[in-house]
Amino acid sequence: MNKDMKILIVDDFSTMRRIIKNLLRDLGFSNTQEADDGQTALPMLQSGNFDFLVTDWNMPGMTGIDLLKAVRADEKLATLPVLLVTAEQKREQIIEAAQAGVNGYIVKPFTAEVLKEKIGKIFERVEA
Amino acid sequence: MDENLSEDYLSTARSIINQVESGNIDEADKLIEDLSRKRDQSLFQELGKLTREFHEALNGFKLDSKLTTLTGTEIPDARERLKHVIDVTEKAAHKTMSVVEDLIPVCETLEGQGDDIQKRWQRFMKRDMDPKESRALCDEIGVYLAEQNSGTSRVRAGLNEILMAQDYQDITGQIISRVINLVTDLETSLVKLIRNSGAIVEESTNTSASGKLDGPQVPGLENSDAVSGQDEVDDLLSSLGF
Repeated sequence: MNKDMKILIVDDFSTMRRIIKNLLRDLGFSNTQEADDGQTALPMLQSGNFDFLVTDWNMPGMTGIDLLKAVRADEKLATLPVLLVTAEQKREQIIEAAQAGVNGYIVKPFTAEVLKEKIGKIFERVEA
Repeated sequence: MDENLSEDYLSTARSIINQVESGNIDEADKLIEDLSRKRDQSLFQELGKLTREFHEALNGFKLDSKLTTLTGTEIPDARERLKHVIDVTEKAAHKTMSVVEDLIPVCETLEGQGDDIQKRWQRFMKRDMDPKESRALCDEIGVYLAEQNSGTSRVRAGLNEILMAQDYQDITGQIISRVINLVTDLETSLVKLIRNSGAIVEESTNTSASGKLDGPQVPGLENSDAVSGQDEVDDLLSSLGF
């Protein structure tokens, strides 16, 4: 796993973005950028050569699930690994995310260990 | 008209017929007067009932004005209070994270220097070091101890700041309690109003609209369709072939 990979963190709460940014830095990933919803994130992804997307689900403007669908529908971004970090935990939502092609799903509140484990698994599969 | 009254009417009417047939007109007159008094009484009772209902309806109007206060001032007020809760908690979270972000590099520096010195100290203890390097090590240990001292002071000051940043809980707890009281008041008023107006409230079906997000699960109010944590998410995803 490349520790210099470029990661986009999308969440409407600045505190949560900051927490995720700090946890990622602690895991050795310091090349991160932030966006506060899908609408801001999508153009950044389209022009920014990102290697990994970590996004919340429930956001004003464009939600995380819509962002995921837009990413999968975009020819250049279709294979971008996406991790959902969300408070939504209804079965039908988890299934919807899986069907939309999410690579990992973390429910809030979460621990640093869970984040580390999921990122590890995602890139194990991506690189395999 | 209640059953006793109609039976009473019937028996009195029979008596009147009997008295008239027997030629006792005076008796019959008395009975007719009786009958008309009874009818007046029942009219008064009906009037009393109507008056009471009118009185209750007026009380209902008074409740209405309480609802006006609740919706007109207290609810917008509560909205501002809750916005304040978001502001205060956000500020506290950022304050805490700023201190942590400041202190992590202090710890990292001390950790790195300590690690480096410890390795050379081990060589020194094994007498695997020439006198010149030993002297340099002693100097470095002196510098490190001073740095560790100031570093630990900074960490301690930072920990105190983090501690103080937790005072939001007191303020937000009080604000939220007040809002809970307001919601309870509103609920009571609405229930009374519905009772007074005699409306029948049909149980609404408790299905969440499709596409609506539920947000965080709250203890005691869990959605039966929600999983209860990361382990169940992982199980569900692996059952889907993840």
